[in-house]
Amino acid sequence: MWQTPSWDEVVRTHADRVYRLAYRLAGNRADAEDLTQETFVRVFRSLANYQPGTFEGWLHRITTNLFLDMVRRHQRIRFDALPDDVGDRLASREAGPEAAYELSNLDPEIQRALAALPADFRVAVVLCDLEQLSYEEIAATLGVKVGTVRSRIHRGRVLLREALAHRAPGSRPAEPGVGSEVELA
Amino acid sequence: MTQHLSDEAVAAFADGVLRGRVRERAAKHTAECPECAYAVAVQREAIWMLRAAPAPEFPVSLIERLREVPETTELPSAPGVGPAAVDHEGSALFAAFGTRAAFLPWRREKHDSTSDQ
Repeated sequence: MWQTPSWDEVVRTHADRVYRLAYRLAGNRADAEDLTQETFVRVFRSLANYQPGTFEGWLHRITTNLFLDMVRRHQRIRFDALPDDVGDRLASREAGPEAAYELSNLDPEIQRALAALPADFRVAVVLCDLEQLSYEEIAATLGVKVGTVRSRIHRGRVLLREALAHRAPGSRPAEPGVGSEVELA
Repeated sequence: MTQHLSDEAVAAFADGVLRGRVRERAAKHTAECPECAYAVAVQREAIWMLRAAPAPEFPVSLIERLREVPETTELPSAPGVGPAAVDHEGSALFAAFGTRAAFLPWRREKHDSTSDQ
């Protein structure tokens, strides 16, 4: 007998994971929502041609490639504009539900360091360290060689660690976000 | 001292995915080379810091937008065929949406249009 997953079930099963990846790639809620929606539009359109395999791998591929397309076209992804308002939101800690929401849902400093990475490095690091894909899966997702994946991951982590040096084990604890001297350029 | 680790080997060693002799060589080298040991530590610290960051919370309002995708998205081909759905294990089905109530076993047929992916 057929199990009959409705579109609702497809959405319920996968939306959270797709959004999490989209958020970490895009770096802000508005773009992450757009990226998630666009991913599901592609999923909906392509289902008839879907070759059974790992559905999650397929979703990763769609989300990641849409993100990279957007970055290349400099469309919608406002990663340049991200960091400026982080301090404001920290300053308005008690300002309202929206600020509280943002604060409770990401670590602004880490998100900001991620967003400052070149897109190719960011994708490799996010897929490896947060989505916990293997090098081979990442290579397949991006259509590049495993060696390229390793070297992007290496470089991305080095840049992240530099940006977050004051938080590393052994260094003094930082005042979160306030008067941060981290230069992310 | 043995040869320094390449950047790629540093990442792979930090991730614990090297095997066999390559792994042994990397372990031996980092034990005696502070430079490469530091490089590996940098990789691991970056991983820890990333994983310590809380996951973004799913915005509830987004669910509605995603549920509406079938109503707002035009399918590229096969207008008479209802949209397919796929369960989390990858089994695909044609499911019914709105008034088009027809459940058909999904086959791996190519449609005229190419897929987006």
